[in-house]
Amino acid sequence: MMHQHYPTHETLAARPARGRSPARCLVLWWCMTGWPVAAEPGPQWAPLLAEPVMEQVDRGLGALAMTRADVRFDKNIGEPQWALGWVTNALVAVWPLAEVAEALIAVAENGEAAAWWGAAERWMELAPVEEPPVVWWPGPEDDRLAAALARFEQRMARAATGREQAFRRVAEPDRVYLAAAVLAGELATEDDEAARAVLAAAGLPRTVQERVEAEGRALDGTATALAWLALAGEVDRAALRQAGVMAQQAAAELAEALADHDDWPDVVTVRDTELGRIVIGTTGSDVFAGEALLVLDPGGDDTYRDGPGAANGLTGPGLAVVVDLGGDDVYRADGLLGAGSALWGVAVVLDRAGDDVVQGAFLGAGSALAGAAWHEDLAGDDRYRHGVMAQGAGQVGFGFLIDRAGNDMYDVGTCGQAYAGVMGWGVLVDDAGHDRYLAGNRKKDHERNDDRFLSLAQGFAIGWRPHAGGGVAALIDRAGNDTYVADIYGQGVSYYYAAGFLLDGGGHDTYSVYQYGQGCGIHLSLGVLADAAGDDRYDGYILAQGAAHDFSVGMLFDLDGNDTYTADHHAQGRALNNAFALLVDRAGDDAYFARQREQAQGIGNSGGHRDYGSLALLVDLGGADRYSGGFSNRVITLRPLYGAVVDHERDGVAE
Amino acid sequence: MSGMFPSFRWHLVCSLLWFGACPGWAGSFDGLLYDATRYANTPERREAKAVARAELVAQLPDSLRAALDHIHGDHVGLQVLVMEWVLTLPSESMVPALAERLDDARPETRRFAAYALGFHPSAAEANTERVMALLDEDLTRGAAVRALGKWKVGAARPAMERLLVEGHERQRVVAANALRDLGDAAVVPALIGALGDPVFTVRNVAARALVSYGAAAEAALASAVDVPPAMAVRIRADLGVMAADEALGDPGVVLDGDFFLP
Repeated sequence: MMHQHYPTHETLAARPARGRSPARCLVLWWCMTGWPVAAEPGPQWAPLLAEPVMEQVDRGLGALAMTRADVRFDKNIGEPQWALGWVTNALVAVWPLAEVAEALIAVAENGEAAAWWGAAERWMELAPVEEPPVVWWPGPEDDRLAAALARFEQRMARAATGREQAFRRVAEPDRVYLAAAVLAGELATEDDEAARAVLAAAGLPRTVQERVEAEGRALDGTATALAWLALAGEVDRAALRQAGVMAQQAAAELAEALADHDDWPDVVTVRDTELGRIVIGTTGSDVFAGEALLVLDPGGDDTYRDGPGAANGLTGPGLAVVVDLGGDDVYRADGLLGAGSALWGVAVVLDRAGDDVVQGAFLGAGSALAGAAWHEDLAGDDRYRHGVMAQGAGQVGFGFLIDRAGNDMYDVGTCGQAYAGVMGWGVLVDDAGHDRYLAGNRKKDHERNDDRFLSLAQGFAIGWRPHAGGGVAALIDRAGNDTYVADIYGQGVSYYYAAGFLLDGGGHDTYSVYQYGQGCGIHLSLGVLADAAGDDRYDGYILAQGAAHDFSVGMLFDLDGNDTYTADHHAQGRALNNAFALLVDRAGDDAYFARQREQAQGIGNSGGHRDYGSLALLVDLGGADRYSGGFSNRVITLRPLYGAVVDHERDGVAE
Repeated sequence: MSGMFPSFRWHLVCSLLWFGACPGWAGSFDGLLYDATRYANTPERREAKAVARAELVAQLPDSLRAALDHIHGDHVGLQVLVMEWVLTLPSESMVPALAERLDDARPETRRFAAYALGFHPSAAEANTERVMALLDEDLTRGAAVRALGKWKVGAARPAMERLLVEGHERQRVVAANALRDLGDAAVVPALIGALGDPVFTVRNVAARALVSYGAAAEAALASAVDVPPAMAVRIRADLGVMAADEALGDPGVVLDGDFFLP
């Protein structure tokens, strides 16, 4: 249930043990013992705040007449009705934020689907759901396909039960309202007639759209916000996650069982079940359209049009799975829900091979609103292109996009490529290949930057200020020379009691964002960018590259390589308005360029009318470095209100 | 962009992400306030926004009274608009309506009124007593201390000094700044006491305040006990009585600017 507000952990630690929620127990455990031990990240990753780093952090703080304890200055000044406990605590006790990043990296390197579902449970602070033991009926012994389908149906029956459990407390009209309250704004129905029709076709009638548009005109939206939060809090997200687990396991098991099966029908066959339609394709090039519990295709270059892999619980049963075993496939949707998206439902797409094209006008490729969605692609050079809330996006739910191999291209308008809204979890993992990520070019950033676009992507999470915090968004790319392009809000950034991560393993990477990104917290929030290796380029304009604004925390870690950082201002270890910012570059000959010397590189500010300082550190542990601010190697430079550039040669290496 | 929130309210969403009009609401103040603060994503709405803002300014102070009816709420854009007025418009168009709200039923509104009045020294004479009364409330205490400091109300000094010790972190910051604003060297001992605060945010504003007291601070520091040495030498450096590198005492550390001054 919502309306849970987690106090600062000093207060919580003193709280009597009675009446703790599982989330509070987790927070209390952390307060007393430190963070749960995570699996170690792989060899290319070193602990982000390893002892050599903290030694230099301590030197910088010492030079400022501070200690690590000073970093705990009060940044938890909001009063959201709902927020994640660990996010709330990390605003004050900031160092464990790096450990969360390491834990996410470790999960990515583990690679197992179960590990990701476990991470969602852990970091979304959900109570474990006991799955009663069951003996699966193996199906007919003499028919491999039938046997595999029988097991699939049994698992999906469990998923259906879990889905019902998850949504049992929310009445049908409230489900429509909750979704409309998000999507009417997202699709700008007030201005866009076509969007109205899209939503109406998805089960969100114009009357409800008009209601939320009217509510949006109020000068104080507190009452409607709290009503929405109350509804969202009625979703049993633990049960929803478990339903997602069951559906994803069902798909994975089906794919595994039939990976080398060679006895397929010659024509597309259809069978109706209690949970929905099961469609079996052929080894040829098939075209699938319409809702189905399952589309199972053995190979061929197939086309999936609106419906397959899209679970809409407002118009149908809300369970949808696609298992495609091979071929260069095209997934295309013009309606609200593309393949791998869920609205009051559970969706899974598992594509084992081929160079695929995954397109959706709006949602898709692991996106969920009041739902759970898993989209996994095991091989091939794939192209993903969506409009909004896509490619690992969740709000009141869980969205995963896992791409295991290939040189992939990701393109989203807004709210994607690891995006999390309130009570949301959005993860995009790309294990290998040289990949390109583009977010923007759809919605203008009116009034702030008229000639630029909102991105809200690439590890971006957001709450509903001031009423609720956001969730957890993480984009993890493990290898390859990758390019990330965003405009406004992107690349390990968050807004209001939320956490955004962009974590990149090997490769020479290029990061570009205009405003708000690259390890950046905005308005009481947490952002982290970490890059393990390679000669990287970071390009930003304002509030980027280990920057934080307004009681936030922003961190950028670059572990190796000769890196170049360029920005205009409010960047490169810049804390603005009572925030904490950190840029750590552990090795290499690096260059830090910022056009406005007094607004960048290890510097705070006076906090405007608040009239007190921030804390910012730019820590470089090795190499012969260049600073546009003119700072010297092997020197600590103290900067105003309050910050430091700490340049250190670990091994006594001369410039 | 609104979908990142569970909010359908495009204009409000954008005013949150950016401090952030379809015409057609003309007439009531609420309508004007809506046009003046909505997310103006079309040329028409921008025009309506400009028109509404001009009309609201033309109808001050009644438009301010209408805005203050909503200042306690969740509309960041409206709060930003009112603060723009407070910071840029003449006191005679701001103070009367703000002063009325010192007795508002909502503590959030009383807090805002006290805070905003602090930007208008001319409000002091008529409203000091009422703002002093707000020192008794936890929610309004910080705003009251800030305003009383800006107004240089010596009678509030005990409350400020008490808050510097007993308040939570941000209240202690406000108290230190208010003691600086008072301009009365009698506050120096209290500020010296804050140099040992557990958090730098408080220590450093106290140090900055001491620097503003010049020779009085220097003299008091010389005889004070339990002052963190690093703070004492840095204050002396900012006072110009000690070189910065001498205060740092480490050739591997250099100072870019001042220690505590902006």
